[in-house]
Amino acid sequence: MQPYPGSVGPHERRIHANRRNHRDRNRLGMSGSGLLEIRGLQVQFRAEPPATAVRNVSLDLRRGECVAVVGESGSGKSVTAMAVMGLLPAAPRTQVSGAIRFEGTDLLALDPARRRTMCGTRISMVFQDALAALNPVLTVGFQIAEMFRVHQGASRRSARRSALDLLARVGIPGPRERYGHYPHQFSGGMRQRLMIAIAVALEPDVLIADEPTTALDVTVQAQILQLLADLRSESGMALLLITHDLAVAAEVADRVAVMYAGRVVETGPVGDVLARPAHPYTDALLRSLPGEATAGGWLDTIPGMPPPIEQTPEGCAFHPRCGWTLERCHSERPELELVSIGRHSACHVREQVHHGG
Amino acid sequence: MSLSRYAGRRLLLLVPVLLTISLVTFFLSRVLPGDPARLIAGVNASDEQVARLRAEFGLDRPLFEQYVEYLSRVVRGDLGTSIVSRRSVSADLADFFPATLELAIAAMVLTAVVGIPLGVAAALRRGGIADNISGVVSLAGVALPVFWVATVGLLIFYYKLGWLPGSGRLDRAMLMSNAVPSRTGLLVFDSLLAGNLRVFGNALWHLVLPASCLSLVTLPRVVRITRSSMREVLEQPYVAAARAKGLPERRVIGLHALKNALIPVLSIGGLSFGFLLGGSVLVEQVFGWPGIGKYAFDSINYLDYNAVLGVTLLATVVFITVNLLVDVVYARLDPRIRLR
Ligand SMILES: Nc1ncnc2c1ncn2[C@@H]1O[C@H](COP(=O)(O)OP(=O)(O)OP(=O)(O)O)[C@@H](O)[C@H]1O
Ligand SMILES: [Mg+2]
Repeated sequence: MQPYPGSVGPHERRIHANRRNHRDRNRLGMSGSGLLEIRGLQVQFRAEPPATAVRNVSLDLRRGECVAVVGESGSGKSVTAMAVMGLLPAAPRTQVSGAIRFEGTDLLALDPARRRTMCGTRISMVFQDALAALNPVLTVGFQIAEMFRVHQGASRRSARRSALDLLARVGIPGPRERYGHYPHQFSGGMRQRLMIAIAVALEPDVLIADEPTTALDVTVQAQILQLLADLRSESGMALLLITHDLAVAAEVADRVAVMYAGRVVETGPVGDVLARPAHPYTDALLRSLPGEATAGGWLDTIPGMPPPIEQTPEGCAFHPRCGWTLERCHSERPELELVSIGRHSACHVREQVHHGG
Repeated sequence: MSLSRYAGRRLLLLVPVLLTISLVTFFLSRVLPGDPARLIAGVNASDEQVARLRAEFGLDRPLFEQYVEYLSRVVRGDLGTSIVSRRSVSADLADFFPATLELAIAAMVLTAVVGIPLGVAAALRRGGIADNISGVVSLAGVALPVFWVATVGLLIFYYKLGWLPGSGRLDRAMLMSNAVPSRTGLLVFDSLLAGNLRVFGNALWHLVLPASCLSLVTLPRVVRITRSSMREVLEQPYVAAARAKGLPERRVIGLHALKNALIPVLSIGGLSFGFLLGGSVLVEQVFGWPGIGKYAFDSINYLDYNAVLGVTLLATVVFITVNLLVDVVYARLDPRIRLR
């Protein structure tokens, strides 16, 4: 393992050692198949009528794997991530049910303080808008070093050293000068690097990245994705990548979960799913991608709008916008069913979509 | 720009402001009905006596000439002589201002110590106890005049209960003994510097009631702005991000959120320092506090022109200096602000 350029503090070595332990345990089969297992997650916001943002979502993230969660705006991607991080508003305002198991421990059943300490150390998150997610009145150096100070009780000096290493690691030029700068003094791409630095500081097992590149232009986007890939290959951390960009998913992810109106409607290995979608929604998303398939022609856009979460349609939520609609789609909600090995789709006509296309 | 250059430029601005203020105050005070010479000489004085007094004070010369002469003296640091006290106005101000400053600082400290935690607690739990209390405080600040609160406070805590002293800055005996040398004029500091804890305690004790009443001017404002600012900050992504970092909630609220929430609190609080000085006129009256408010009140009553002008100029300088301080601290707190 090639550590960061420059010196590596003692506590970092300790983390590396910990990580090896995790891996060994995993190899010995001591933890289950999934590092992070979401089972039947349901999130309801108190409102009139109650707004259910996430419905019966199940997802698996294995150690070292990258799963992309894709879907239109409002499909519940961020709410799912927030639920994992425990960042949703407290109980009366939000009802969360189901299970979120991390290494077999149900996070939803854990007491808040213990759950909080898992954040940042075992599971981290990168937010979409890095400028809004970095504290405007604290220096970036402070915000990074704080991770070592708070979680590891590192001394000021050693935390500073670790933070400087990290700044260099995520590709911030001139870490020493930049340490004392404030977020607004950085470009969009640099800010996202700073967010990533904070998130990976303690080498978490899981990184959740919620549209980490949407706010960035294409070149910078590619650089950030590359950085994430590099960090992942070095540390073996698993990545839950939330995006509405199928091209990004195709490039980075091992598997993909497509969400629509709060539900997962299709899952599978990313190559398979994108090559031969088994859900009309995935198919429509693919057609709306600018690319070779439609080069020179018009982009197909999906007709209509996603339904508001207070009034999802009966039956299959996608049926009003679907080109394959049958009678039963109006009344009978399709469950996720096996399409082929490792692939599931929640559609009554999944076979036809899958084979016919 | 460097801080000292910025401060220098801002202080330079004082010159035109002071000129304008002095001009307006000078002529306004002269057009008020009433003749200070006659007031001083008394009802039984002859016209000659009054005329002599008027000449002595230079009141018989043309107004504009008087103003120019006044200005030329002010530039040399001479604010003239008070008609009432017959002492130099500068000496009077130096005597009375520290008492007011001490009272205002105490009220400000009280406001911050009570108002900020209350506002934060109110923001954390909507509809909770703190939220309700802060609602009452906000309302009370609007509904209850300071003068009335001061009178009722005096009635209850001094006359009825006898828990707190009713007037002055120190017990009479202690005042007479001249126990601590005056360095800053602020008794609380002077007594600490002299290491005299008895005077220190007594001075604090005398401050409690007037400062509490005076803080009613600023407290509601500060509570309200802290609450709303904190609420807004708590919705910001960087607060969620701080939680996602796994920081304890204490640190998320007390450091990451609060440091942002305090920015508007500071500017509102700084601005309301001026209101404190205004409020002190009333509070000092009720509590016999030997401060500038009482001095201003008396000098207006006697049409003591030089004293009125002196107080006005001092208030202007204080106001602008406090604003400058607020700006500087503001820029320290919010790195996005550039001092210009
Ligand atoms: N705190 C909240 N209270 C009420 N409703 C909420 C809250 N947070 C999210 N929602 C609703 O939940 C639904 C799902 O939101 P979510 O943010 O998960 O969408 P998303 O898939 O991340 O979309 P985007 O691509 O726009 O980020 C939306 O309709 C949103 O309005
Ligand atoms: Mg989102």
